[in-house]
Amino acid sequence: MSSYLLPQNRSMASPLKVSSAIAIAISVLVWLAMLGPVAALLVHLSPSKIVATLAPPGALDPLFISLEASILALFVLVITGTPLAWLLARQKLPAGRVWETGVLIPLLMPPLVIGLLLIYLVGPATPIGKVLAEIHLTASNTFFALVLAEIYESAPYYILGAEAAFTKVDKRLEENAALLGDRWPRTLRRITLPLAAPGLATSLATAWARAMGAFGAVIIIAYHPYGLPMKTWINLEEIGLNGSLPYALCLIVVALPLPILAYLWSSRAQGRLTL
Amino acid sequence: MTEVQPQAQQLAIKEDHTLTANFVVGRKPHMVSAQLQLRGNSKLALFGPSGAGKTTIIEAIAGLARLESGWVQLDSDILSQASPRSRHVALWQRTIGLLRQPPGLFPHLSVLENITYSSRPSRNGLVTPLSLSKLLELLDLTELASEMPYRLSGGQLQRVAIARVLYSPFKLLLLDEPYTGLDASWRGALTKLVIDEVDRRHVPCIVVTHDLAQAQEVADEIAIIQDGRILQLAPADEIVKKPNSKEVAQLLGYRSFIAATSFGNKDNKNKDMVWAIHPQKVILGEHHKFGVVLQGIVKSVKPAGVEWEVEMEVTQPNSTQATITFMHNHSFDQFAQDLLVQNNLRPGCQLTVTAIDPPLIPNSRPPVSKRM
Repeated sequence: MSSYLLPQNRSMASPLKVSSAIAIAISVLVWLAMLGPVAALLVHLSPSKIVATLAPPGALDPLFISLEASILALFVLVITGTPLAWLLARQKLPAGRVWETGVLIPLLMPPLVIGLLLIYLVGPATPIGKVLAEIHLTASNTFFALVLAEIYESAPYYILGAEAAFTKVDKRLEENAALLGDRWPRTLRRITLPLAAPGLATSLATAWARAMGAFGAVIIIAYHPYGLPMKTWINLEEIGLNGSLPYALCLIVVALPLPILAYLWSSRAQGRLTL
Repeated sequence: MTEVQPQAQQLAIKEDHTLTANFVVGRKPHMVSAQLQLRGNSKLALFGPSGAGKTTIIEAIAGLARLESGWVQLDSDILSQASPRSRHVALWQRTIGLLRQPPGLFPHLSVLENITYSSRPSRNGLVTPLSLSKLLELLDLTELASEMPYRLSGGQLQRVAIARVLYSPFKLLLLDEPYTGLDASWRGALTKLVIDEVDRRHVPCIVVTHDLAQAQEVADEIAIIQDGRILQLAPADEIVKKPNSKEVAQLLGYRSFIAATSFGNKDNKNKDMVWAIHPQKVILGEHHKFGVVLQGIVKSVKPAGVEWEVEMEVTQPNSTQATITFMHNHSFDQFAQDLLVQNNLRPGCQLTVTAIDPPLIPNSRPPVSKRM
C-alpha cells in the first residue's frame, strides 16, 4: 500500500474498529450458539451408529410416515390457508383483526395444550369424533390424528406468512392488470401469485419444518403411528442417546434443506421484484 | 350517445365515444367533485396545484374510487353510480386506458411482457392499437424490450408505462402526469404520439398535469382545479386571457390585482371588479391602446433569471393601495444596468407602465390588501 494512503485509511477505520469489533464478536457468538446443536449432533454421530440404527428392516418407516403426513398436512394448508391469507391481506373480511388473532392462537398456545384440547374437540367421545367415526376415521392414535396435529402446529406459520407475502404485493399492480383487461383469476395467476411467490415459498417451507418436527400435540393425540419426532423420543427413552441421534439427524436432513433453499431463493427473487 | 350498431362497425365508421361524469368522491375536507362531458377525440387537461384532486378525478372515472354521489357514464354504459342503487362495472370490463403516477409496471415481467400485457381483445368496435414494432420504435424502446424493469431509469419506466397503455384497446384514455421523468426532448414526441393516437382511435382523453404549458400543448380544453373543485373549464387558447375568478387567475400566473374602480370609471359597471396583472404582460411606458396604464413608485428590482423582477407600488389617484410585480425582460447583460437606470427602474423612482390587456375579473374576496 502506498504510504500516503495510510493516515487517511487509519483515520477512517479507527472509529469503526472498537464498536464493530464488539458487534462482530457478539454476532459470531450468537451464530455459533445457533449452529451449536447441529455441530454437536454431527460430532456425536458415527457412520456405524447410523447404520446400526437405521439399517434394520422397517427402521425407516417413521421417516416415511412423517413425510406422508407432512405432505398431506401442507396440502390441506395450502388449499385452505391461501385463500384465507389473501382475504386477510386484502382486508376483505369484516373485523380482520379478530380473524388474525384466531389464526395466531395455535401459534401462541403450547403444542402440548393444543394436543390436550384436540382430545376434547375431536376425540372419539365428542360430537365431531362421532361424525368422524361415521366415515371410519378416528382422531386418536391414527395417521389421520398425526396429520391433524401437524396441521394445528404448522398452520399459523403458513397463514400468517402468506398473509405477509400477499400484503407486500402492491394493490395498484392488481388494479392495473384489471384495467388492462384481466378478470381476477387471471390477475391472481399473472400478478399476485408470481409476486407473492417468494414470500409464499418461505412460509410454506417454515410450515414444512414445523409439520415435520411437530411433537407436542402429536404425543397426546397421535402416539401411534410413530413419525420421526416420536421415534426419536421413544428411542431416547428406551435405548438412550445412541438410538435417538440417528433419527434426529434424519429429521434435520429432511426438514431443513427445503426451508433454507426457499429462504435463499426468496431473498434473491425479492431483490428483483422491487422497483 | 352512440348505440352499438353492427352495420356501422362493418362499414368501419368510427364510433363517437362519449364520457359523461358528474360525481362527488370522498367527504369533506377531502371532497372532490367533477362535472365533465367529453365527446369524440376531444382532449381535456386537468390543471391545478398538487393535492387539488386531479388524480382523484381520473381514478374515480377509471373505477378506482368509490363515488359518494353521482355517476360516470361511458357511451351508453353506466360505469359507476352511487345511487339509487350502487352500481359498478368491473375494472376489466371498462375498456379504459389509464396511466397512473407512479405508473406501476409489473416488476416480474420484462419490458416487452409489460407492454403486451393487455388481454383485452380489440373487438366490440374498439380501434386496434398501433403495431408493437411501431410503438417500440416511437418510444425508443426496441433495444430495451428484453430488459427487466428494475434495470431501467425513471424516464425509461415512464415510456414503458405509456407504451403499455397505448398498446391496449380502449374507449377512453386517462393520463396522470404523462411527462413525469421525461426530459424536454421527449415531451414534444410524446405529445404528438398521444394526440395522434387519440385522433386515430377517436376516443376522449383526459390528461392530468400541474404544468400549464403542457396542458395547453396537449389539450383542447383545460379544467382548472383547486380544492377538489373545477373552478373553470375553457378552451386551451382562451383560458389565460379569460380567467373567471381570482383563484383561477392566480393558478394561471397572475400575481397582482388592482381594483378597476381606481381608474375613474364613469359607470358602476366595474364596481367590485379587479384587473388581473400578469408579471410577463407588463411593458414600460404609457400605451393606452394596449391596456391599462399604471403609475407608481418602484419598491425593488431583483434579478430573476434573465429578467428583472420589479415591484412597484401603484399610486394612481383614487387607487386603493396595491403593489404589482412584473418582469422586465432584458437579456443584454452589459446594457442592462444602464437601461434600468434610464428607465427609472430603481427603488424610489416614479414609473409608468402598461399592463397589456389585463382581464377584468370579479373581486371574489375582500379588497386586495394582501401583497402578492
